[in-house]
Amino acid sequence: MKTITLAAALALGFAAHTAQAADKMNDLEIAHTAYTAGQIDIRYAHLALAVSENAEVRAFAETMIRDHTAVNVAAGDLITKLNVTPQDNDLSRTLVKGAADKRAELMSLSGKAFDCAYAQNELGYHQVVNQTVEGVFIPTVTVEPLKDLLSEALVTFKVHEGHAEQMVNGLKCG
Amino acid sequence: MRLTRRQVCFGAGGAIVGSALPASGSVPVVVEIRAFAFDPAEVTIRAGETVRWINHDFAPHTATDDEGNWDTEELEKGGQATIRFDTPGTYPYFCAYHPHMKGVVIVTA
Ligand SMILES: [Cu+2]
Repeated sequence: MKTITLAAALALGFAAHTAQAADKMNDLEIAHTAYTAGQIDIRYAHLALAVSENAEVRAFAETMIRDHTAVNVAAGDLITKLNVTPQDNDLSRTLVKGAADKRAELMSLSGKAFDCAYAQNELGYHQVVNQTVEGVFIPTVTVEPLKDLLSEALVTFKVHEGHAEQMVNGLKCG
Repeated sequence: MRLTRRQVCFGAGGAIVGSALPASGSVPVVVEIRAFAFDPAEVTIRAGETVRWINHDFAPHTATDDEGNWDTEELEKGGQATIRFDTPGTYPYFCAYHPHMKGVVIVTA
């Protein structure tokens, strides 16, 4: 249960941080953080493809790369169209740091231990990101096309969350 | 946005019977893929008619025969594929990337 506790702790820390920073974030910071969140999940997925030999885990990782890439390409297109530059911010930096730590932890694992840790992290990560996108980003953002994009992205991320939950249950990590 | 358009025909047992469409002038029955669902999830056509899948999601999807006999292959946002069904029967299918997405094509004589 160690990994669940860690994921929960990370989730709580992130959520608390998010609540604090929420009303201070502008559209460009929100865009940066949403994009960063997708890139982070893509990196987790590449790690999973490098390490895991479980067919279900590998298929999930491939879907994460495919879907998050598609969402971020759309985000990039919108950013180009709006002719703006997303702004790095505390929340993006917190996410990047947390992900680097988690990747280091995952890289020390192999076999079923890796699969379980990856699956549980995917579940926790999507839960936190989805809560933030739905509860903070979408209500806060002022530019309509960005709000639309986040809303559509949320549909994708929620499917991922459900898929991650199935994967965790299927792996019987105990 | 890159538009993809693909047309495929399948006959009995999924054999590809031709690559040119349309053989008959019939209008395809359209299945919209939106918010990770096939809409409508069930379509009924006559043998020789076609079904066209159009993806509106950011996430790429497929419509893939449960038996593996036909497949739209990857449809990006705005992408579409049209498949002709020549043999009466019930053809359940799913998305190869998101297997909880399910649909069925019913082909009558
Ligand atoms: Cu799909």
